[in-house]
Amino acid sequence: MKINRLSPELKVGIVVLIGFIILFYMSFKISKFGILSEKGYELQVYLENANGIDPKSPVLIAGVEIGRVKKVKLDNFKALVTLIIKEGVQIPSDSTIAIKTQGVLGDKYLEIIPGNDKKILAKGEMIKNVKAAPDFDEMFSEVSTAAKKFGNTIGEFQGLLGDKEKTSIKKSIENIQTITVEFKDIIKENKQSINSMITNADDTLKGLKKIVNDVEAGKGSLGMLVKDDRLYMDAKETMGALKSISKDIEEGKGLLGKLVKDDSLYNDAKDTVKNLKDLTDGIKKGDGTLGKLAKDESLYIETEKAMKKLQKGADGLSEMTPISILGTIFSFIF
Amino acid sequence: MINLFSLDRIYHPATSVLRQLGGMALMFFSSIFYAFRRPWKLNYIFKQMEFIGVKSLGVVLITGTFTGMVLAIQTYYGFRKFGAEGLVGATVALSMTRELGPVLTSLMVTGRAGSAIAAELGTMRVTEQIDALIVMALNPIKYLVTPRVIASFFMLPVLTIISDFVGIVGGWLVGVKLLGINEGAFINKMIKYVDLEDIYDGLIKSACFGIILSVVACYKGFYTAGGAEGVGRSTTESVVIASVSILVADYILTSLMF
Repeated sequence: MKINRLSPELKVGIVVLIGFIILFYMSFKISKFGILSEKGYELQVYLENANGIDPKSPVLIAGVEIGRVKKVKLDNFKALVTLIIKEGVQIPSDSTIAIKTQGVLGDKYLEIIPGNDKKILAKGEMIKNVKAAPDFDEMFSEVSTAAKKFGNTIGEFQGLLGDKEKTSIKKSIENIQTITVEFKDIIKENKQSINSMITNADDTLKGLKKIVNDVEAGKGSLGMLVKDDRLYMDAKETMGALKSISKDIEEGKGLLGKLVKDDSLYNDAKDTVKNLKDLTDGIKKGDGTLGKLAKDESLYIETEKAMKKLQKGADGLSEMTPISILGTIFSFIF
Repeated sequence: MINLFSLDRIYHPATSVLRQLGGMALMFFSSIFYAFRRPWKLNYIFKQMEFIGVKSLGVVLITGTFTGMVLAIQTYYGFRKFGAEGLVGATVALSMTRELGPVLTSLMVTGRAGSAIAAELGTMRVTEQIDALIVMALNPIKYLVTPRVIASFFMLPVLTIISDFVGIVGGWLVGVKLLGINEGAFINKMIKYVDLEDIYDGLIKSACFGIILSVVACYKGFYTAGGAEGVGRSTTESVVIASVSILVADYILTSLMF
């Protein structure tokens, strides 16, 4: 039988069969979990905000799909989400559930972070621990207030530093620079002598070591000094002489005696110290620019606050990245 | 008050459109009505299925494959700009199953089979063969229109699913084999983002398009007047009207489904 003699019924039958095979193949491929999905057990969880969670949203543990969302409904102003978990996946009862974002399209999915409890969640039970998802609107407002406060702080700081202070700071830095340069030059010029100094010191130390060894052995005059008793007697006599000298000083005799006994020098020193103290007190009280810088804690606290907020904001922003990418996509397409 | 009888007799574009719309609806309902009346002429239906379905297969295969291929190229250059090449597979599959498979298949069948139906019935009308059928007490609607409507209704989804498949294969060939997209991402994103509903809704749409194109072609052919010139005119009109109606119906059906 030639091919063009095939009856219309057979030809139609072949084409329809091809169609059905393709349809079944594609359906089977796509249904993933599909028909098998009913073979699982249900768990429930209350979410404060189930935005982006739809039926069929995946449920993952460690990035592996272990179930899907079956339905989402409102219950007592909270979202009651029913999950279907694959048979054979056991979830500890103290596990935590969190809403997470995946991919450039910002798809939401549920991630279960397993707990350590030996008790396993049974069919129909509730996952109680929910990790709050960041609310982007709230985060944005926080970031903006933080940024504003940070700006204010910087402004205050700028106000604190007048032109006068600025120039003096500048001058100081310049001075430091010159000193450093000069110091460098000195070192450069005297490199040779410094080197020889070090070498000499090295030699001296070696010599000293030798001497110490000799003394230990009782060699030479120093060794004798250490080892011989006669020196002690001499020293005792010297002490006696010294005693008489100190007695003279005590009585205010001679130049040394005056130095020790006269109060005026001491009083001068005392006044100097007092002046210094007044100066530091001023700084402590917060008078003058330096005092303010040292004493005003508000600047520090403000800065710290702003930094914390900024940190929070940055965390939020990093979570926002998928959405901004999506924005780019849209702006590209349209 | 407008006298509907006098309205019916004047020729005016507005009344003409209404009259044709009504005539097409009547033809559709009577063809469905006669489909459930004995005797069932199954061999007529199979003949039409072969003509509308099997013989359109080549055209549908070529359009489907090249549509998928060009979709892959176009979306690739777009998605590459932000490093989402993996989504090309999902885009091709979604576009094919939801939109391009049903619509392009229907348009191709309209061009190939719809025009042929209109020309065939028109020629039968102007050569008075349809009158001869009536004289022989054969119901021309049951004999000529019903098999064509039923055949289109069943064959369009079959052609569409084949078109979807070859379109996706074409997209895969271009995307993975030519442009070097990661095959795992291509397939997995496709599986992830395409749902069964996408395929089924596309098939339902194409069945509706099948009814539209066959009814329009049958109506235009059945009521041809004016000899050979009239046949040419009704052929052209049937293709234009059917194509436009398919696109309009596509919007309505899509907005109802998704």
